[in-house]
Amino acid sequence: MIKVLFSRRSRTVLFIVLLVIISLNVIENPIRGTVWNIFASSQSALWKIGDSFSDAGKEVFDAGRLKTENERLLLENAELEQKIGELESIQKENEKLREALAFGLEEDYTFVEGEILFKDPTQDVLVIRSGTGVKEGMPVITSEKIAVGRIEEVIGEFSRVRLLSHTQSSVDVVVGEDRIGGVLKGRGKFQAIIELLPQDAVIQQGDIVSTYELGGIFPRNFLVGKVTEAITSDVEPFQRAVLEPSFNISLYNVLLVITNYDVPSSIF
Amino acid sequence: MLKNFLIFILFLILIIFQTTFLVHISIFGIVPNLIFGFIFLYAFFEASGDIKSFWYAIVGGVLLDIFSGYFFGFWVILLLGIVLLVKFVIKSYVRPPILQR
Repeated sequence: MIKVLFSRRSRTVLFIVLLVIISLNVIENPIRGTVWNIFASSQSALWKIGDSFSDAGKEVFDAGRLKTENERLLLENAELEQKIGELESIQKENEKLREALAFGLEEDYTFVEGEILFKDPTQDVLVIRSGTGVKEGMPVITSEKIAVGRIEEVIGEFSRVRLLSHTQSSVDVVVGEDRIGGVLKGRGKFQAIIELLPQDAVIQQGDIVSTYELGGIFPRNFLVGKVTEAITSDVEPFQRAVLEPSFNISLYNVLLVITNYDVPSSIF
Repeated sequence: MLKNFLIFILFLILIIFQTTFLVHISIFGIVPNLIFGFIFLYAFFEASGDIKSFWYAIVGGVLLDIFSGYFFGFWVILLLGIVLLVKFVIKSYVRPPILQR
């Protein structure tokens, strides 16, 4: 085998093939766009089948847990109803104050829908068919206001969405009711960690994490996830917290791209 | 020729299946790389004088490059390296009787 591989003819052929493949980098986007276009409908269909399959699978595996989960949710529901009552009164008060101070309403965003086609085989990147009007850096969310990631690259009518769990993702977030500031960093494989949390801040399991617009990368108040564990060390100047992302890739076929949020040009 | 065409079709099916369906049933976010696994096993069980696994590495690598965000040639070089390493290790160190042909 070694003799065959390293014969002059084999080496020359292999070298030419490699050269041709690497030279394809010049026209990589048209190639990718064309191939994605050819397989878009079959990939979209398989994504939806996988989605329903995972739902069915979860129902089977979770059957034993449903009863206790139901009881817990009933209790939680009662607490939440009480909180809704409190919040409604606060909202009325807030509206009156807004009117009095002549503040504008909460910022409205315009969206472009993007159908999920497939996930990158090696990175936390989703490819969506978003059509035109999408640019690099635009934030991507779900219809439930859950932060998903940002547009990494636009190839024709397709866009690559870099998820918040991508190893190169870094977004400002706030944690808990006290809105303690930190930086969310992706760790790959749909996992992320919050860094640069003040050492004296109280971070608890279950604290809600949402986006903050400090770095101008993401608009504020989009849900990111929950804290599962706070990591404190006496020798480190900051705390860290492990995050359970709210965005579950198995639950969605369509994402929303915010098109009217000003994104700094140098975020990538 | 027909076998090579079927392998190409198989690779296409594997990568579409891997990037869509398998994502939903991943465990701890890990999705198996089917083309990588296929080429690794093919190189492992291939007869010692055969070099088909190198060509399969090139075809599989190009397909993976199309569907991933790395530069063109990344997966081709990686898979060629893996095949070379497997062949080298088997030739030099591992040769169970069942693999000798």
